[in-house]
Amino acid sequence: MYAAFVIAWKDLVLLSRDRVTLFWVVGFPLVFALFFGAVLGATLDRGGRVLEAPLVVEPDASAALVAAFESAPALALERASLDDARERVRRGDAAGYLRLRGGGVEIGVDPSRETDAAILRGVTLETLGAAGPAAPGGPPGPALRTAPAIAVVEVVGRGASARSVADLVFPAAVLWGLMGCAASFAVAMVVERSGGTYARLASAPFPRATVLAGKALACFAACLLDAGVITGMSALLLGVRFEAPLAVVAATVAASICFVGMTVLLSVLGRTQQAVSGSGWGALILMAMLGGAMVPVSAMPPWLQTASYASPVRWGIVALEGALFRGFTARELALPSAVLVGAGALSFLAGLCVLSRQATR
Amino acid sequence: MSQAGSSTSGIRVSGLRKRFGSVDAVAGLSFHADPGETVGLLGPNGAGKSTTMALLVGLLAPDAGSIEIAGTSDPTRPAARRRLGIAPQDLALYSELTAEENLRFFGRLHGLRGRRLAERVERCLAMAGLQERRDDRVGTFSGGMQRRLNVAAALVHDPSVVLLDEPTVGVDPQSRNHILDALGQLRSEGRTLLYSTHYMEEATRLCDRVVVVDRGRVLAEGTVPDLVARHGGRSRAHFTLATPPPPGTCVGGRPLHEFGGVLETDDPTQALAELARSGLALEAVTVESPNLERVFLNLTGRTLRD
Ligand SMILES: Nc1ncnc2c1ncn2[C@@H]1O[C@H](COP(=O)(O)OP(=O)(O)O)[C@@H](O)[C@H]1O
Ligand SMILES: [Mg+2]
Repeated sequence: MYAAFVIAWKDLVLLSRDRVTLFWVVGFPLVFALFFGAVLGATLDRGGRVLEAPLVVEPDASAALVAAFESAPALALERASLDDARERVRRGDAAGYLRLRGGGVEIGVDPSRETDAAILRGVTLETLGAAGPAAPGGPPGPALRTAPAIAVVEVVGRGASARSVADLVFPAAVLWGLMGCAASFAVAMVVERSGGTYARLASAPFPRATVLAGKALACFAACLLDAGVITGMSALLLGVRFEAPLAVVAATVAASICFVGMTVLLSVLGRTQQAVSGSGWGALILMAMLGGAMVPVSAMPPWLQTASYASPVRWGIVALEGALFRGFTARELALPSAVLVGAGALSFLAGLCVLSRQATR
Repeated sequence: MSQAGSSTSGIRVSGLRKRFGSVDAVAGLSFHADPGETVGLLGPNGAGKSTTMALLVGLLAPDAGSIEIAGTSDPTRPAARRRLGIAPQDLALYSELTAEENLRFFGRLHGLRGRRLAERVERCLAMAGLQERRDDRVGTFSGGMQRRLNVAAALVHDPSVVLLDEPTVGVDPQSRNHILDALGQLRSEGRTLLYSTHYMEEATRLCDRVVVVDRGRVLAEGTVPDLVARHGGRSRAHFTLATPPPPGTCVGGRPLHEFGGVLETDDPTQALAELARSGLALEAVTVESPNLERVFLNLTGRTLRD
C-alpha cells in the first residue's frame, strides 16, 4: 500500500506542475460558473414552453376553474395530492404546483427556479382572465362571482433553499471540475502505460494492480481537492453559502468516486495520449450536455429530462443540489449517491477488464 | 555495497519464445550470465533484445521456455524484483520531476526510505554526474544527461542484477563514455550485467561474454576474442595508389586493375611488407583486424546497423 501512496503523491506533484491541465481542472469550472450564472440570471423569457406541474384539486374547488386550468394550452397538469405535489417541487421534479380551492388558486413555486415560477404565475393569471368574469348573457359561474384570490407559496427544502443563481450554478461547476480531473488522469494513465516509465513501475516489487490503485488514489484526492477549491471560490466569489456542509461533502465524495471509476474507463478508450484525451473529453462533454451541466435540465423538453438520468452528471447535480438547497435527508441523498458510486464501480471494473486483457496480450 | 557472488544473482534462459501476431520476436533463445558476469546481447534493431529484457523482468509472459533470474523462475516475485534493476530502452523518467525527485520516487517504489534512500540517491546522482543539476527538471536536460539518469534510476535500490537495454542509444560521445565508465564501475563491484546493444565497440569494451542474436535466435556466443577467432575471418589491408598500377601487376597473387585494393591475410605485417616490396606508389594503407561487426556480417550477410 505504501507504494500506492508513493505513486499517488508523484501523480499529484505532476498535476500541480502542469499549468494547462490545472486550468481545465480548476480555472475552467469557475469560468463556466461565472458565464453560466450570468446567462441564467439574464434569461427569464422562455415563451412557448408547456410547463408540467402537479394539480391539486380540493373538494370545494370550482368546477369551472378546474376545467379552465385543465384545458390551458401552456400547462400540462397532472392531478396529485397536496403532499405529493409539495414533495415533487421540493425534490426538484416539478417546477411548481397549482392548488385549486374554493374560488382561489394557490401556486407553489420552487424559488430556485425563478423563470418557471414566473411562467406559472403568468399562465395562472392568463387562465383566470379567460375563465371570467362572466360572459354577457350567461350566468357567471359560481366560483367566479368574485375575483379569484391568488396565493403564492414558496416550497423550499427543509434546510436551505437556492438563494441565488450562484447556488444553481455551483453543482455544475463542481461537476466540471470532476470531469476535468477525470480527463487529465485518464490521459496521465495512458501516458504512464505507453511511456517508458511503465517498464519501471511494472517491474517494481509489488503487484501490478498497485499502479492502478495509486493512480485511482491520486485521482480521488485530486477530485476532492478540486471540489474543495471550487467550493471555496464559490463561497468567496459567488457568495454560495453552505448550510448543510456534511451533505455537500457526502455528495462530493460520491460524485468523486463516480469520476474516479470513469477515469479508468476513459483511459482505455485509446492507446495514445491524443486518442484518450480526444475521446475522453468527447465522452465527458456528452455526459455534461445530457446531464444538465451545460444547459440546465429544467430547460430541456420532458423526454430529455428523463433521458438525462442516463448521465452520471445528472445524478451528481441531483445530489449536490439536494445537499445544497433542497434540504435532502440522508435517505434522499442515498439514491443519487448510490447511483454515483455504482456507476463509478461499474466503469472501474469495465476499465480493469480491458486493462488486464491488454496486459496479457 | 555489492550483493553479488551468490546464486541469487545469475541469469539463465532456455528455449525462450515470444510471438506477437505473426512475428516471432523471440524464437527459442537460450543463454546465461553467471553471477558477477557482464554479458552483452549484440544484435541489430528488431533482433528481439528488448522483448527478451521484458520477458526477463516479467513485463511480458513468455509463450514457452524457462527463465531463471535473481534466484527465481518467476521474475514477477517481489523478492526477485528487489534484486533486479532495469534501464529500459525508452527513457523511463518523469520529465516534470527533477533528477532527484525521479530517483527518490523510484527508490521509494522499491521500499527505500529515510537515510538509506538519501544515501542511494546521492550515490546515483554522483554516478550520473548530475549532482549540480539535481534540482532541475529532467525535461530541461540534454539527451545524454537523460540517458545517464535513466541508467542511474535502475540502480537506486542497489540491485545485484542489472538489465540495460541499449543505454547509450542516440547519445553524444561524452555521455556515452560517462555511461560506459559507470557500467565498468558496476562490473567491478561484482554485479551481474546484461547489456543489449547494436554497437559492437561497446560490447567489445565492456563485456566478458557476448551473445550474438538475430531474429530472436542466438547465432553465436563467447568472449570477444573467441568469437572473432571463430567467425571474424582474416585481417584486411586496404590500400590506395597515387598512380595507376603498371599493367600485369599482381598483389597477393591477384591481378590489380584499379587504384587500390584489399589484401586478406592472417598476418597483416607480412602483407604490408609485400606491398612495400611491390614498388607501387602507395598513397594510403589501413589495416582492419576482424571484429564483431565482421562476425555478424559473416554470420548473417548483413551489418549490425541494417
Ligand atoms: N508489442 C509488440 N507488438 C508487436 N510486435 C512487437 C512488439 N514488440 C516487439 N515487436 C516486434 O518484435 C521484434 C523484436 O523487437 P524488439 O524486441 O524490440 O527488438 P530489439 O530490441 O532487438 O530492437 C520486432 O520485429 C518488433 O517489431
Ligand atoms: Mg530494443
